Amino acid sequence: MNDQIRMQLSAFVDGELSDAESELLVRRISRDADLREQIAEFQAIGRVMRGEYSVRVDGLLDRVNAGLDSEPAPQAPPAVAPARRFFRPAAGVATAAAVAMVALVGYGQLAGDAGSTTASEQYTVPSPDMREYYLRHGELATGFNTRVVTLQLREEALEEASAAESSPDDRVDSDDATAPDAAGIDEQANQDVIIEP
Amino acid sequence: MMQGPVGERVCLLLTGMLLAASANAEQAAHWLDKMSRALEDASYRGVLLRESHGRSEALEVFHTKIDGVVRERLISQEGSGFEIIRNGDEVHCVLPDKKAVLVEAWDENSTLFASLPSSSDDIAGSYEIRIQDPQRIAGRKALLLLIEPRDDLRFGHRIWLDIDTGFPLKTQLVDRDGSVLEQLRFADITLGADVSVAELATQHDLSGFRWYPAEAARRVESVSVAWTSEQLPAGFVVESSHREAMGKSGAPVTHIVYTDGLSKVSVFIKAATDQPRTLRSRVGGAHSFSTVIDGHQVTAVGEVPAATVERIALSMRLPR
Repeated sequence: MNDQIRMQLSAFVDGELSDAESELLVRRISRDADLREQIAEFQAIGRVMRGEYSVRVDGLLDRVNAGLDSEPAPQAPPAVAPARRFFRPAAGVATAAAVAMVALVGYGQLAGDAGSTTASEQYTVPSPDMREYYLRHGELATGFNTRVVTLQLREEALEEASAAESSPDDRVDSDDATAPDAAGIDEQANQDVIIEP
Repeated sequence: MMQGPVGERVCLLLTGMLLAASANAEQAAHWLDKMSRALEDASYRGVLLRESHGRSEALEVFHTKIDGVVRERLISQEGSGFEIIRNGDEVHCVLPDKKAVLVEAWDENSTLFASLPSSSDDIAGSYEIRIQDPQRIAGRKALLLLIEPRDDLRFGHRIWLDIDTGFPLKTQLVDRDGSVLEQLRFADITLGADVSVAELATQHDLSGFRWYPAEAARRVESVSVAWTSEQLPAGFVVESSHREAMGKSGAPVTHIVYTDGLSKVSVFIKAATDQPRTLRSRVGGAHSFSTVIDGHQVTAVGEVPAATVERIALSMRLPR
């Protein structure tokens, strides 16, 4: 990707391109996954700069990495947000898929007292209860985006079910058995979630 | 559905006249009506960019109607290559990387543009509709319909309509500060395309795929619910209320759906169990807020600002 297209993408994200330029660029973007990645990165940088998220995403990765995705969120955010995280090669399919999905959908859950929302609070994967609420709401609500989100939530439940099925007692075994798949998904998840400082 | 050159000229002329006059509800109603008719009979193929919370995803889209039944196929252009194949109410989600097919019982409210308003009558109380100057989208001239909430309690919508046909070429869900929460935008589109049956079928060999049927019909009963919101934002009304079995335990949960004609909020109420907590979460453009009231866990979920689900959840009361 050359600097010219990078600058064009940046201007596009900032809404500074003319209609005609945007139209051409959108066509290119629709055909080139690298450009979509780059756009996501520019948008993420914009969010970090506006203070919308940074710790949330890194904190989320930490938690999923540690296999704590269904536990309550810790109350204290990490002192320093790590710039880059890699997954253990044997991280489970369910976990990896959940991360990939988090990246795709962009979701999170805040635990804490009402009225205490700050930028440094941690977003976690929604609890199973909360997930079901989103699913049920999605079934009645209209809209394609909502349905895609519920599809991805259902996909996550599917992953968890099959992980539990293949090894009900020992999650680690099932993780190892599916390591090659998991590595593939992990790589994608990393690309999706990481925000360059 | 497509109009000829004469129709186009008449249409442009009409548009010019409409734009010359100050935008008013009548024009908005005209365009919403035109959009509804365009969507009803639409047949098209194209490439769509879906953006949601900083993620950008390209989808190839085929859409038509055969014997009165909506047929649609969406193919993700991202790594997983999943496909969503619709035949009326039956939707198959093909996940090639997981060798799985999810069968979803989605109704026609889940098609690509189902969340757009079909008439201005239902929403005029809560939203102001304005028309803005034409722009070019996907090689076509489109005018912009702005649907702006009259208060801070809901999100706005921007819809770019093809001037010729009224088809929505680009839609946005917009936060109160103007930032875009979700976007669908055609990069390329052929309106009035002859979509073949072959284009509507999956390209994956599904042998060896595992099929996951739609969840068995749940024990859902319509009920009248005593719970009410004492601070329901203006314009919202109860659309439905029922009791559902949820979770592993199948514990009964009361589910009330509120709508303002465009945005929907679900409220879930169940007996508070262990560790009742106040929780906020977000999935895509949807927020949720959960709290405990009178020994019940009350959770509001909807495609509205966080403050709105919080206000609705906190205002739920059970009259004594």
